[in-house]
Amino acid sequence: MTEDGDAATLGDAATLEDIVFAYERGVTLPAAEEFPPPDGEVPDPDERGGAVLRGVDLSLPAGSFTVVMGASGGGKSTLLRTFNGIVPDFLNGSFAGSVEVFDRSVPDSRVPEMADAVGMVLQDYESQLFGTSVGAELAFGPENLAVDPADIGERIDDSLSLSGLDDLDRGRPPSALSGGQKQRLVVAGVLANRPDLLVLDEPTSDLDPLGTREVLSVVRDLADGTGAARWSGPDTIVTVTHDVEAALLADRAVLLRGGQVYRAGPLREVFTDVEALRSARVGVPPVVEAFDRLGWERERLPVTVDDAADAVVEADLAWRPPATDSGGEGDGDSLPGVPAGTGTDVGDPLFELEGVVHEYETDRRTVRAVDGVDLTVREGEAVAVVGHNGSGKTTLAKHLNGLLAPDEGTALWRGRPVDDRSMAEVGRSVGFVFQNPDHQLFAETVAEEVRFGPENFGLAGDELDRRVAEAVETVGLDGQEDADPFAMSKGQRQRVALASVLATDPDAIVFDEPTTGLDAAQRGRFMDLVARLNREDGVTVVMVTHDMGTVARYAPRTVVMSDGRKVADRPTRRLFADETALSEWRLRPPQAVALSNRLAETVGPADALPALSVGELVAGLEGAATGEGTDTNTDADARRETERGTSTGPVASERGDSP
Amino acid sequence: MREILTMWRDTRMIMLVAVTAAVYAAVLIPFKGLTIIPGITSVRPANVFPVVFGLMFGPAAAWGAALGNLIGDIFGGTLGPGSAFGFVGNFFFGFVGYKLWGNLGGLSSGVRPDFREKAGRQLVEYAVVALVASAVTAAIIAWGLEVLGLFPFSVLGTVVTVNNLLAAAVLGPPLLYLVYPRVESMGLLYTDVMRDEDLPTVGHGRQQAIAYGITAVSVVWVVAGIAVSVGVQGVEFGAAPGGDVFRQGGSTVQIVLGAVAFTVLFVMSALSGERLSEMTAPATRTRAVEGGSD
Amino acid sequence: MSSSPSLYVDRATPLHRLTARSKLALLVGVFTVAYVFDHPLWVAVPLVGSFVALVLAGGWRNFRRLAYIVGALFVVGFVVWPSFTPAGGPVVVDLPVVRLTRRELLFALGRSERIAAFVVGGLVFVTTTSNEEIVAGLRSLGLPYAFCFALGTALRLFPTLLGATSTVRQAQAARGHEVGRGGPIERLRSYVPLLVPVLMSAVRDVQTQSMALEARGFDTRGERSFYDRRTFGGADWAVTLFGLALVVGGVGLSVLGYGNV
Repeated sequence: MTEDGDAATLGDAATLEDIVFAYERGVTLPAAEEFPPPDGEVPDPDERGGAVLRGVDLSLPAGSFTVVMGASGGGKSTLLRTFNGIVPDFLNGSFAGSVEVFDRSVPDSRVPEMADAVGMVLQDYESQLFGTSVGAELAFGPENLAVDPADIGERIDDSLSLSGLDDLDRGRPPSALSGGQKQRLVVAGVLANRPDLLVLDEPTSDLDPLGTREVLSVVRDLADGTGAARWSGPDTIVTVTHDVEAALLADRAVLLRGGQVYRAGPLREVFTDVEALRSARVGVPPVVEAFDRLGWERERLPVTVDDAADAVVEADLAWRPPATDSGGEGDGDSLPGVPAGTGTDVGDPLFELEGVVHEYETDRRTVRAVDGVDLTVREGEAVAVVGHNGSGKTTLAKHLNGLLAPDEGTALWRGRPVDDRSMAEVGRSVGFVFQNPDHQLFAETVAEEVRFGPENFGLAGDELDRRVAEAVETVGLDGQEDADPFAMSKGQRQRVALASVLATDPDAIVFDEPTTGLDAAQRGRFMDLVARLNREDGVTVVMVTHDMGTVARYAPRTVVMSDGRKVADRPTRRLFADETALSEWRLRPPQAVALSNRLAETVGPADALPALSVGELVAGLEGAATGEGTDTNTDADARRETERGTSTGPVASERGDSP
Repeated sequence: MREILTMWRDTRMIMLVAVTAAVYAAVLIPFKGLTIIPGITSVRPANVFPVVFGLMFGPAAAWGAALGNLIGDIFGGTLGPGSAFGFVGNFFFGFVGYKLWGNLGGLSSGVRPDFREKAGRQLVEYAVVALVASAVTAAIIAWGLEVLGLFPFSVLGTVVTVNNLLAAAVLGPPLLYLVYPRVESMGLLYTDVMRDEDLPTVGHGRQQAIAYGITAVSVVWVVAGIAVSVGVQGVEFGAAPGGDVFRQGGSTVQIVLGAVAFTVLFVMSALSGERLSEMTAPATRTRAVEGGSD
Repeated sequence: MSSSPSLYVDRATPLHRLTARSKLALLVGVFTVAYVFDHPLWVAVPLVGSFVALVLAGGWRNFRRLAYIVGALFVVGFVVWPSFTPAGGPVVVDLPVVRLTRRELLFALGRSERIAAFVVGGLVFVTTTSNEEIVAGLRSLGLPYAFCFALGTALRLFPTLLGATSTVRQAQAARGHEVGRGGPIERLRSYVPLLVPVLMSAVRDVQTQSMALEARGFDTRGERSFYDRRTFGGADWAVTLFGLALVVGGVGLSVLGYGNV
């Protein structure tokens, strides 16, 4: 769209002035100018209350692509919802200010009336699909707008093409599609209304790496305006995202802090303002952070992996990787550990799966979700299980504690078959944290929720009280024992779920996508907690995840599943060095890894194994002076300190250190 | 009864219909609960939903229960003429709760059904609601299957009443205790979602009179129906004059009784009001809004 | 392990190709025939007809899935009805506890067949008609759009929530919770930790879903258009007329006194 070239002369697609909004109804709001400027204290991201938007002024130039960033609870999503009148027409709390989109006054319009001008895509694709078939889904919007049926076919063709779904059978039910396809179908459904302004609210948060890539490529094409002939797509785009890669597609960036615009301007300008990013509790892009720590001036900071690789060559820097690939597959022990220092103290086999097969019946056929997998996990390990959606990783994990029994093969726990033992016996030793905490929370208070597990396992009295108190304290929710879990943020709810598992004092915990739907700060806080349980209490950790950043940081060993089979099982560092294989398995390494792999190619050494964190990256680039710079545990600690002080705010300090 | 129609103007109410229907069906099928006659009758935990939903989502729960039962028939493979009566019966299963709550005079607790304050009196009020809802559902379904000549009234009249009442009475209070305040804080109670002008404006006297009327008709209908069916008072089943004309539809007396009772019920429903919206103060309420990061 | 919840069988049989409307007309005809006659021989006609259609449409697996329920309903009907039927004709069963006259026996058998015919007939419909077609069919019968939309959405959400229900059950099992232990009351109560998460996670999405709907222009107060309506073809007319003929013929014959016990 920047190809239009004359963005400046087109004026603004949308203008927001003095927006103040609180979710409570009937509140007398202070005027926009009465709020202090956004430099002072910012509330903890996990807490809510009061006005969410506190005097927002913002304009979106026509033809621009803007990314809005800020901490959770900072009002990003709420802000996006003012563009089509969801605030204040649908979420009718207390509102003041003016919103003009294409010269229409939004607060005076109903949401459906804005649907021909503003399209909106939300995070959870399941909540946004309404058709029983692909065709019905795409016709839905135009039908709502009473578009002449004769013109709808054309719109459907255009939207499918713009979303890269030309080949999709229109009779297919959306439920049969992959996550990435579903979210692209959502985008297509929104585009069928031919909006001039497209609003994307965390469009990739619920997707696996492959789905993310699919959706981002659609967004990239929309932004480039290289669409179908009849209609080239929306002119102006605005998005909220936690995904650096997604953010880098934009040309403008807005930082929100405390419900106000803190920084706004060209993307590069905002993304290299490390201080401002930290202060707004936005994750600094790893590449930017690395070169900032190397002491580069702001003007020279690279933002993308490509820029950074070029910059290293130009500056004639050497690359001293944390390790080189001197041996074969078996020398995992000699490799430096992961930044979080997990999985170093390994003992006897805990889980042993042998030839495990698991099948599901569907309408038409039998699906082998797990197809002959062997897997041994030892005491004290931290193992990641990765793979595309439908690769069988969750099904595999459910065999570890006997939630599922193998159709063929055996599953052993400490040398004994899991299905010989009652759920009560195994469940007590092996905790399972599900992806969505809402699938288990039911009790009135945090304390009661946490008591539920140990009580079922027969604990009572003082011992029970002590366990509950400890677990609640470990996850940093002490003081909130009587709070209602349902009123908490997603990050807190996930920690309640973890506490409810910790209270049974398990030897091992299996996590199924524990960080889905959490933002960078919440994710860091949650995973640091898991890492500490592993390091200090020796809890064995198996985590099913599609978040490669989490894998790099917390799991020294990674198992890759693809189509029900185990296709790789190696030290994470070695796995991430092989980008060809990763892409074959539809995985993608995080930025720091990608950059160090690139450096291995350009400046060598060719057998370099990648850095797994920004700290390692920095150490390898400064290298010479400090000697090795590969003491990853120290690096990890230093890094954690930095995170606590800046991006994640007051973390649960070291409360959990008591036994 | 206008809210039954006006609720279709609101997107959230429509979504609540869909969600309550889907949840009802999704729990109805796998959670068998207490099986009495295998394959035929069991006390299903899901049967608490229409009553509980009714108190929270009002008219959306009535439609949702009706559609949920229909979906249960579609996926359960029992779609047939009886489904129409299952639809209407379950509609009333969800409908009765919000019509009766607060309108039962001395039996009413006078507070919203969250089982916090006056819990004892709420239990009494809830028990009446659950009984009436179960009875009216049972009567409609039993009557329908009698008309279709599938089962005599007494079979389903008793079975459905007992099943529904057990599930609703045992599970309702703990469920409402845990769920009602949370739904309230999400702003999804029907009294918060619907606009005032879409709710019926009926005086307290009429509200209460009709609530008592619905209660009486429901209980009398199911009791009398069962009595007729098993031949109490000499009304022999199917004994049309001459004893020879034994046509579809079973007992004429039974069908007439049902037709009269249903008509009375329908007219009363049309004239009814609701008092729950006066017990919940929607003015200032924090909403936990999800769907984005903030 | 887990199996698909839908009974729809995706085939291209002639029955599949009919619109939902004409299938409904046919179904009304079949149901009418099963309804107006009492004699088991007469009721057997719609029962057997439906059963053959079901098998031809690829629904044998569905029938097997439901055979237990059909059988149970059949038996219960057969046990219950004699007590509600005036005796007549010769005694055909004479056991210490049961004494059945010919009339009672025939009547009960006819009723049980009727129940089975209804179930099998309905099964033919759901086997050959996708959810989308059911909704479109109701819509074309003139039911309001919002109502049809709610049904369609519920049908779409149903499998998702069924999945959530099973996840919740697993999540609580992993925490040592067992359902269905103890006396009746206790057993029912043990469902509370399952019902609350299922209910809350479903309701939690209502805000977002409604928001997404309105953002796409969904508005029951405004006008809307309808894309891609299925045309009512020759076969549909033929089947509809056949359904009508079944109704007229069935009612006529029964009035003339055929098929009674």
